[in-house]
Amino acid sequence: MFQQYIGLVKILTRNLIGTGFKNKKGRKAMFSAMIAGLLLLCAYIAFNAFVLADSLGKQGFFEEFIYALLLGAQIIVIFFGSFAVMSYLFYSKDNALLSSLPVSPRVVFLAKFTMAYLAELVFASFILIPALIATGVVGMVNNFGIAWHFFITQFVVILLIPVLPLVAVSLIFLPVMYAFSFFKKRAVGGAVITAVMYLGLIVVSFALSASMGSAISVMADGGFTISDSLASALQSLKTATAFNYPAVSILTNNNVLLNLLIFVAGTAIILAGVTLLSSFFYKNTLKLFSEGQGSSGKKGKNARVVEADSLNKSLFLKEFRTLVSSPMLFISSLMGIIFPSAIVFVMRVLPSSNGEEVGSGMLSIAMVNYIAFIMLAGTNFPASIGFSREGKSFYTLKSLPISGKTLVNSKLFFATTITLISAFLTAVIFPFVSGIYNPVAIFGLFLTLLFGGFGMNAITLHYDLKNPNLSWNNINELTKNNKRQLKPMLLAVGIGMFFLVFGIILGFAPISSTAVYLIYFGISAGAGFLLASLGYKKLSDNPEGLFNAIEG
Amino acid sequence: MIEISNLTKIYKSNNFKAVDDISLTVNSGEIFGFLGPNGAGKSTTIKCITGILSYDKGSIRLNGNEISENPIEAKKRIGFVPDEHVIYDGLTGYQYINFICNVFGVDIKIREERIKEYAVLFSMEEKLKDKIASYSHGMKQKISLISALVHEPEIFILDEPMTGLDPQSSFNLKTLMQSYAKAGKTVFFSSHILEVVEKLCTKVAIINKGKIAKVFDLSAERGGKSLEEMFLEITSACGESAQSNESI
Repeated sequence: MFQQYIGLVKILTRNLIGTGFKNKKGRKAMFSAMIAGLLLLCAYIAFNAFVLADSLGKQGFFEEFIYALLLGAQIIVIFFGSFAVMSYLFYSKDNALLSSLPVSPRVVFLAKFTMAYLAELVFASFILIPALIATGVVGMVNNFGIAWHFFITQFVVILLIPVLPLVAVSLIFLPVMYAFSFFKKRAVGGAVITAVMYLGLIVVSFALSASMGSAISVMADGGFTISDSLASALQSLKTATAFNYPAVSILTNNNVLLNLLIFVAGTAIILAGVTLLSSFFYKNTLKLFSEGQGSSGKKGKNARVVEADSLNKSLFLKEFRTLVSSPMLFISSLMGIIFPSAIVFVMRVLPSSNGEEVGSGMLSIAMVNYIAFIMLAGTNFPASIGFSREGKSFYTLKSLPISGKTLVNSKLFFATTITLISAFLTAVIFPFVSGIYNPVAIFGLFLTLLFGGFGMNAITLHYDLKNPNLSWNNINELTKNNKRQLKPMLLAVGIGMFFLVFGIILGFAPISSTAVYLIYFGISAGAGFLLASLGYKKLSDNPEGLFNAIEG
Repeated sequence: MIEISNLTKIYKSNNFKAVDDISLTVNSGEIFGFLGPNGAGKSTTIKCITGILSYDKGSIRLNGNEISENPIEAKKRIGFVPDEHVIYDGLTGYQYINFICNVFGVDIKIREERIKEYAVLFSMEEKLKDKIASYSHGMKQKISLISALVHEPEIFILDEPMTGLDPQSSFNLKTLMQSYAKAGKTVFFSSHILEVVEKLCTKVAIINKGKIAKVFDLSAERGGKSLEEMFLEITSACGESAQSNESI
């Protein structure tokens, strides 16, 4: 069984790596961009962790800070891990093949769980390694009870910390997906149920992030005096996350060996528990999923069997129908629509956290613009994987008399429809959560997000057209473990940063709020328009050549 | 009519010459069989003809339209049935065929008649409202066939078309291919089932290791040899000659 497990993990990993870049030049350039981006991110995380650990530690909340840090990483694992678990376990193209092999469902479950774990471990490591090293340095310098072996044992903690949230996600999904597999046979909209379930997880994650964010911002803005409410929030956090006690104890030099033993054994036990559970639920779910979706087409008198549409409308409908029929992609796109406005909603804590705000509410406006822009640019999967998501069907498309330009434009148009809805929702929610009802700010935000989103759609679609991955196995490989999207994402972060810094600086200008909004959104919407023009120009430069260059 | 001149295709990823300077002419009214062992270059050639793959040298003209220069016009003439069923699983049969009709601009009345006709021919009337994901291998092959035929192409290209078809559908397809040829259209298909090729085709080409080993008229005298015997003779001779070349 163990050999089968190792063999399966090896083959799944090789397959994942094998779908990378074909040419060495692309691989090298992407690797350099990736390293540069990650180093920047690590430096940013380490700096913030250093400041917070120092501030909170000096007031006796060093241990609580470590609790908060570990919880933060676990929230991120829940947030992204649920998508990975769903993709690997239930919506993977190789499920039917694996079901036919003489491998027990438990082994398949464990191997797929490992794949999801490895993906989340990478995420957790990028956050925890710089944060814990900075925290350790603060702890050593200030004598907060940190021993030298903190810098070694932290890696054990990092290695095991994603397991618990992933097990929690699996414990929710295994029985629910089991039940859902029966619904699916009765033609119930499976994608909608899955989306609702996933959004529930997002809301929980956001609620936790918001409460932590609020506490931290009070601390950061309010100098080094800790309020009673923050002290009690940190204490509550510590109590609520008592399951992290062994991990924190290992780091804070409290019965290290015993707690290490408890931590490792505890993780092994919960993993064994969920694996046992999988032998019933996963086995049956896999079988039911492999049966296909059944007869879920329109039936009866009202079903339109013949429908003549223009080529563009037909392509748009194809994009929509194939999106809705792919649950994980549908969820991803729904996230793309909801994320920016959800973030804006969560960020309502920012302006109320401190009386001394930057003028004209520019801190919250700039933050909203920054975050919403990045979310909008980073989660529009119909653009960023517009061609990759076709998979092998791309070659069928290529044999049809449709020009590359027509296809590119139809995909861009579809992705921009999502951008339009998302930008509209964000702009509608914005005044209610920020208390800024100035139409210039609301309309300016909408235009910035729409133009900027369109530009990023064109850029990400161009990148995907240049180097698509048509041999993916599950959608997670495209939406998350997609190295191709790093460059456009770095660009989006750069532009978002400009929106943020420029907004904050402008907030100090001694002019009326409306004038500030006019200048800020005039320039940011202008930047968005410029991005849209440049992005579209790049995309429409040689779509035919790039389209024809894609070969099997 | 398909005119292939000095076609060469090299896969850049491994620098492999899959098709090496081949020339073929398939006339209108012909059923042309394209044979060869696995990995000989059949599918690569078909993918080049249908515009899925670009090529390094030579030309491919489909009823006078060079595929690399005028791909849209050339593709409008083709009905293509691929060897892999890579059609959109999330659509229903009707949605997929309608999509193809919209792409080819098939008139609403004509498409209604044709969809009905081909659905009956391939016993798919009851299945077209279902999602393609729920189809069996054979049904996916049938939906590929219907979508390739629904716009009545001038050139009908099929890669391993009999795979997965039930005997009745297989018979209907063969009859259809014959009536297509009789109507002056071009039928080009690859197959490993030599009996079918022998019965159906007017002309055959055998490709081996990327080169055309032989093109012959099936109605011509073959010295009492069956197609199978000729195929094995030609492909093994090519193999031996390649081996002796390597040893030299």
